[in-house]
Amino acid sequence: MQIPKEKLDRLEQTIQGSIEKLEARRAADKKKSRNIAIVLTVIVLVLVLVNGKGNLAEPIGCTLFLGGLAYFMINTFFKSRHNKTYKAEVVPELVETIIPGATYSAKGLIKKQMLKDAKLYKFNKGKTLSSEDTIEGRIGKTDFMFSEVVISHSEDDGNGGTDTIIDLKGFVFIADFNKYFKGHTVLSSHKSHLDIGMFSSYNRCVLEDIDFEKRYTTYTTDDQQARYIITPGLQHRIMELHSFFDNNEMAISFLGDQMMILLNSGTDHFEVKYDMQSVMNDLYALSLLGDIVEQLNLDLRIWSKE
Amino acid sequence: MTLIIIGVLVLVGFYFIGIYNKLVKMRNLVEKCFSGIDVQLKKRYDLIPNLVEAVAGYMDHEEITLTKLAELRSIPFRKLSQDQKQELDSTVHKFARGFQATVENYPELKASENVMHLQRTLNETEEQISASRRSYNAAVETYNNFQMTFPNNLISGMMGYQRVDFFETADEEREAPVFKMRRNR
Repeated sequence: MQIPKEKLDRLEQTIQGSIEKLEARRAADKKKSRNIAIVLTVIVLVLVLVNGKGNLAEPIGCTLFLGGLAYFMINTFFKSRHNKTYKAEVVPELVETIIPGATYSAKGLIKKQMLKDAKLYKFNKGKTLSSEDTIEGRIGKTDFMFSEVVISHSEDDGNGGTDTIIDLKGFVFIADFNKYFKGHTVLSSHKSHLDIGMFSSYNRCVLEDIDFEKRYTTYTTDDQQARYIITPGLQHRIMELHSFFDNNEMAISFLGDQMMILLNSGTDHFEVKYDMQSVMNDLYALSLLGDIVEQLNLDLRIWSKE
Repeated sequence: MTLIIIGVLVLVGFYFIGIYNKLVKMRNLVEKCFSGIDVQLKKRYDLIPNLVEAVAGYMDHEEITLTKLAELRSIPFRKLSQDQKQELDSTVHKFARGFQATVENYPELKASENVMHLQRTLNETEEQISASRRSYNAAVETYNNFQMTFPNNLISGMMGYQRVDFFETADEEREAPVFKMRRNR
């Protein structure tokens, strides 16, 4: 999706102040974190030296380590405040530039049950889903919703504690499709992640494009409807779209008159950035949403949807 | 020794039953998909009078097509033979291409909401027919692959199962269409 230069210039002018303010706050908060950590470390060190007996190397070492940890934690706390400011002041401007009229919310609207109903992901091993950064609006004639998601689970770390393992970090894109279809069709580049059991009512649908078949596995409850939706033209367009996202794991569900894409982009797009170049990367990520609509021809309606 | 022979015979028997059941299911799927094509063709058949009426008088060159269409349309769909259905299909297909081209070339047709709705409905129907044919070909491919590979071909031959033909486009539909438009309209 091409962005006119005037729009880019206007955006830069609008958010320049906010980015500079954030950078200044970051520098100040970094100093604050350091000072607090140093003060705490010194206090604890003094206590250790005054009260300690015998070999003090270990307690001193622990204190220094805890000092470093304190610096990291205080810094993280300040960063979360910067995040809030970034999402409140900068991200809405990015969204408005790419998709005029669209709304942005830092909250996520994707629930685990939505992905389960769409069969897009198998939630075993106690996997959980968290969602944030929702954008809703219309691109051309196509209504859509976009939200970032993280799927994770906990595992024993062998020391009595637990580690959080990230299984998927990406986004969900839901849009009106340009046809109405019966049944449910789902395809994925990683079929083992689909929530389709051996004895389910879903059948394997082998499509015509050989390259498409090598990369994706398609299941459906209605073979004819699956072929109605996934024409040879759409097969080609899906592969091209996938290449925009570096061919990371992707799954698409067609149910009712909606299409749902789950993509494992591996990145968190709307976290705080302190320089314009990094902000422009977020802008580029947003522009890919428009590319999804354009690439899949979602605006080409069989029936008028005004 | 007798028990072993009985055991082997039972296993072979189960194997035959398995092959037979699979052939039956696959053949039924082929017939179901073929019937699916009919369902979509019937929808298009019902659409024909509206389409013809919408572009009546604009398609001079299609007189032969329209006449043939009227002839076939006079027979109820369920009474059409396979050959007649095939002929109807290629005639409608020819007409449909003419219809699209005619709409493109006459602004008054393009401005008509009714005509645009018909065009969209026709496109939708053609896509559904295409999907049902692709579904049929996929079912035929699976059936033929199973029926013709060794040792299934020996067993299916004994049971009277034959290869099924894929859906093929009629020769005239493979040719690029040539249209002549009425002038001075």
